[in-house]
Amino acid sequence: MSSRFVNIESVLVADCGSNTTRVALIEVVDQAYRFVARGEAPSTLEAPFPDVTIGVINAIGAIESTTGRRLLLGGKLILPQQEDGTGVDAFVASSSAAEPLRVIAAGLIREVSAISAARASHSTYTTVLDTISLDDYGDFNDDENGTPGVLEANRALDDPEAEFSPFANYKDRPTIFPPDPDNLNRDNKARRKKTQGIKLFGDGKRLAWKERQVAKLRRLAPNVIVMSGSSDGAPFGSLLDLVEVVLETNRQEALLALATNENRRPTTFIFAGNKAAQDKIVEKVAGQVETFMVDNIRPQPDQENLAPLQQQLAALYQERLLPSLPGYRRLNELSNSPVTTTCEAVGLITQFLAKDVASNRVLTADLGGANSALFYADDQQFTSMVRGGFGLSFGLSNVLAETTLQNLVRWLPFPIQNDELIHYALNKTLRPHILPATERELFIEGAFGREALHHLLAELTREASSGHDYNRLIGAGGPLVNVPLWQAALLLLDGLQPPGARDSGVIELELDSTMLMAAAGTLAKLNPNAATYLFRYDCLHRLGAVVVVQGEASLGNLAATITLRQADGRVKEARVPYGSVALLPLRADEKASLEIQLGNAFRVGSSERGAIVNTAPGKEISGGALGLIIDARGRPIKFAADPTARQEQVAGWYNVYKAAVQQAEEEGSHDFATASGPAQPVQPTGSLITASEARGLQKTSQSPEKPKPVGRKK
Amino acid sequence: MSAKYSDGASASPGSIIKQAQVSGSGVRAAAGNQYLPVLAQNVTLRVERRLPSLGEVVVAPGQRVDSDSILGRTLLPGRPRVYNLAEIMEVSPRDMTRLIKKPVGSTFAKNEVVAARKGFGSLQFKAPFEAILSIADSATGYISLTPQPEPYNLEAYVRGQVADIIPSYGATIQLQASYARGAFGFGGERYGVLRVLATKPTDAIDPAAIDPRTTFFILLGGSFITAEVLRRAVELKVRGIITGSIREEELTKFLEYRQREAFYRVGQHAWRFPADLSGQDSPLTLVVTEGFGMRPMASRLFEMLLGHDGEELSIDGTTRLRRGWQRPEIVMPVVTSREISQLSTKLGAADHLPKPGSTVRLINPTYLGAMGQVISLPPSRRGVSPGQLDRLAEVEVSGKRLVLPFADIEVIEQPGQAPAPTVTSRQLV
Repeated sequence: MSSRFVNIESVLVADCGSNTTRVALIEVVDQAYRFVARGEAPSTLEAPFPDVTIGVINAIGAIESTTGRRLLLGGKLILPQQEDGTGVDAFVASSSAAEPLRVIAAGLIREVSAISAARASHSTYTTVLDTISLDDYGDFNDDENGTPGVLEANRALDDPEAEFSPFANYKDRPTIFPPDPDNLNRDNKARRKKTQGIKLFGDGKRLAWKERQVAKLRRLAPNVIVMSGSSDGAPFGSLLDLVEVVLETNRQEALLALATNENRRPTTFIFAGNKAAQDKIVEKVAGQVETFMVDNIRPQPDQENLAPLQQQLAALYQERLLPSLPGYRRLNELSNSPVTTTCEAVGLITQFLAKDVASNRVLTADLGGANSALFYADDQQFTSMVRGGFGLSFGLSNVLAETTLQNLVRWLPFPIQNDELIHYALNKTLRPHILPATERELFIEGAFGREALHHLLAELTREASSGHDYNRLIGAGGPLVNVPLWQAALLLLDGLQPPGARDSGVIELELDSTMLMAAAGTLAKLNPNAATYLFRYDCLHRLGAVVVVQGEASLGNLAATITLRQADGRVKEARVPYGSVALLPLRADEKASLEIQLGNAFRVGSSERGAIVNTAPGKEISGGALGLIIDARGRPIKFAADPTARQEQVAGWYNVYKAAVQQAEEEGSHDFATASGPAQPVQPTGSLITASEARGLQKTSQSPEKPKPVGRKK
Repeated sequence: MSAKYSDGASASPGSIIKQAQVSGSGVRAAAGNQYLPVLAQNVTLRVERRLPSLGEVVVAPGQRVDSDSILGRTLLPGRPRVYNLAEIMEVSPRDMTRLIKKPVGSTFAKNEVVAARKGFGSLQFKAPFEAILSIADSATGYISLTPQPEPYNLEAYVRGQVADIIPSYGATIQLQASYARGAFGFGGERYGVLRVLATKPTDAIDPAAIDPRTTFFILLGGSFITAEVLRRAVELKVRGIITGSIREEELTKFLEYRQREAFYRVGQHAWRFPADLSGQDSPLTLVVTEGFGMRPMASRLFEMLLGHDGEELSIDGTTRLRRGWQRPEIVMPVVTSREISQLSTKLGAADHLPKPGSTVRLINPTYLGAMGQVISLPPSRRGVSPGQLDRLAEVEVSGKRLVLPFADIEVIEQPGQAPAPTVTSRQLV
């Protein structure tokens, strides 16, 4: 740790979201950095207060009023901390409220390289507007009446039917794997078009394709064009055609800018394809358009290397888009380290968690109002899926556009008209700050949350053939944290439908209920030690352990019989039928051994079907605020076919917690008493093994290192 | 109908967008740069009017102006179009410049030959409109044709008094008016006489009520409207419609969306909503006060509008959800001396916060369009349904008591403020 960090005894960490600005006060307490207080205020991004720092100051004011500590003087932050205890030593900030980066992904073949580039682009707040590729034959009907060569300024901007997300219509597109990209245009629609008497210059078929791509690029006006394609060592001649499209677009835009005497937003070009093509491309581009070269994202056909491109995009976002945040300059001046993005901060903490304990494989789901993200990290890799304009307030109607009403309805325990769902999403988009005020609204919002997570996961795992194997699942973001715990747990389990860790079938479920995950990530840049303390002791709220019972049978058949033996001798039993979820109270500070008698068609993790599975001695399972959750609903979750039966089934899932609390109250147990505040860090638990393996297997896990005490002694 | 109302919109949509980019909604409370609440009765408004580009201002401070008075004039340059002339003429870019008949900067009449290639396979390129050849680029083979600049008149939009002049750009108009902000809408600035087609906030407009007597009027409906009503209104040249709500299906039917998903993709066009209309001249302006669905208009707003039946008001349907936030607005100039003498609204930040006795409008999806009164402010809570940490208000709505977050209510009137003007049957149609 460098000396500049040593004297930081108190720090304010701000996170400016699209709706809410949160500020946390972190201070050295008893020789360790601890979370002291948090203040919230509405974000100030629009008129009449288009300055993000006003929201920050308001949130700091809220901390002042709850703690009684003076942090502001005349509306300005007192820096550094004074002898009388007023003010703080440092201030750092992150934000997710700036405009997303508009990206177009280009590649030789849409299904392979263009989609790869699109996926890599989702590492920061981006909207992938579309893809361009050599096999994009398109639909020429829309140009049928146009004069060839004529490009109206902004003609297509008015096209309400324009499709923007490459994932939106992904399923409906025919899969095309042409053998040779150079011969793609033979006998295609463009050729037919030529024979219909349209005059084209030179090689008509190629020009029609090019014209189409240029028109697309001009219409969508991206900030960045990301191009990939051709493995290292493969021929790359066709890539130059794609580069020509970028250059042609740039020429036309420059011409229009000259004609109108207006400043046009320049497009940046990133090439992440065949290394051997880089020199040729630099030569071709030759100062016409701002270009960045990064390592090939597909060095081999079956290998992906997304990190260099993702870093470049993150840097561009930081440099170009983040400063567009109203009041960014003031916020940056206030901050001791450069303002960062919330997704970068949360991603950093996810990686930290995976490296902290060797056996940790972490999936973090950050569900926000305007943006949502998934981060996966293990000790080998880190991948992320960040979607701008996709969330539960500003982004709700975009979620509606990407899912179906049937998918939403299945999560609701009551009958509903399509109109109500559509109008809910649109009204929430019109007034993004409104909060669910009735149970029905909470259920509807939950249904949208589940579908948003489901879509993010589908995009995250598009390239991973067997999905990610994770044993810790963390929920973050207002829509997850601000609902009752059981609803948050169900939202995560329904939306992501975790299959359980491949070996044990158990998942640790946690919630960033203090909303400090982004704060810890932001703080890590200023003072890694403080971030470690904050994250370990004050951040995550352990909801419990989830045992995922996999298999398929008729709904209602017995999937598993669970026997939980607690250290104090109490024994709890539950019979869990297929299609249901069960909850056994078990506190975070309690350990219990678990025995699962599986039904014939069912398994847990890597166990045999129908086996008896036990926790290994010394590896007992611990619970959380909710306890031990047994999810026997199948993967994917199997719903009853009849709508009324399905509603009862879903209502049953929601009522599990109520029933468990009622039972605990009747028994006079205090198992749900510790349902608030983050738990002390615990090692991953729940290594399940079959009875026959109980002696042989010992799971190894490295215990987390306790951070060294820091700060001045008071 | 007098000629004053016959030419519809006060500005071309292009200029409206430019204005929106420059100055936002343009309507401000007179005292400082205060934020106007969703509903403000009898306040002094300052409406900033700006030309889209440098021009001539033709009014003087203190001058009284009507909605259709011209404040300033300028020439709007046309949007250039780019043509790949080399490709059209089937020559190389360098040869293209030799085929052009007049030098750059020349004017071409419509159908005048811009470029011609003689000999075998002769080709001609004629100007598709009267244009100036602004650029001919021998490196790329492109030319750009710019339409002739068009005269543009800046109208006052509201009736009032010129308070300030913005030299070469426009003026600020001050007026005593009531003001309301809608949830969303479309169409630009329009003014006209209000005609009431509903007797209570729960009434929907009957398509049969849109008859020739409604031509050039701004119509007031109560709850929802259908695509048929909108279509008939366009046919009969209705200036605008103010309504409580609209079903999504009816709106997309009227706007002719073939894919409803495209309508849901909010944010792709700079958060303008609905996205496609901002670039076109909408034949009428729609202001939806509550939102989507079949919801009544908030009764207080409806009563306020009823009080202006037969009077001229100004509306703007432009909606932008983020990055230059803009919502539809209704400006109702106050005409009777009774209103001015008896009512006065003080604006202040604290006035937006609910307190016991406040009259509030409910904006959450379940109770959209309902009005209620704050009974008490219970302590905030987290972790229970509704679950959110937010300040809460106990609100009485038609005899029922609800606990709602502050985020879900809008203060319409604070205790002690004067009520809305009484509505008499004379004012109803």
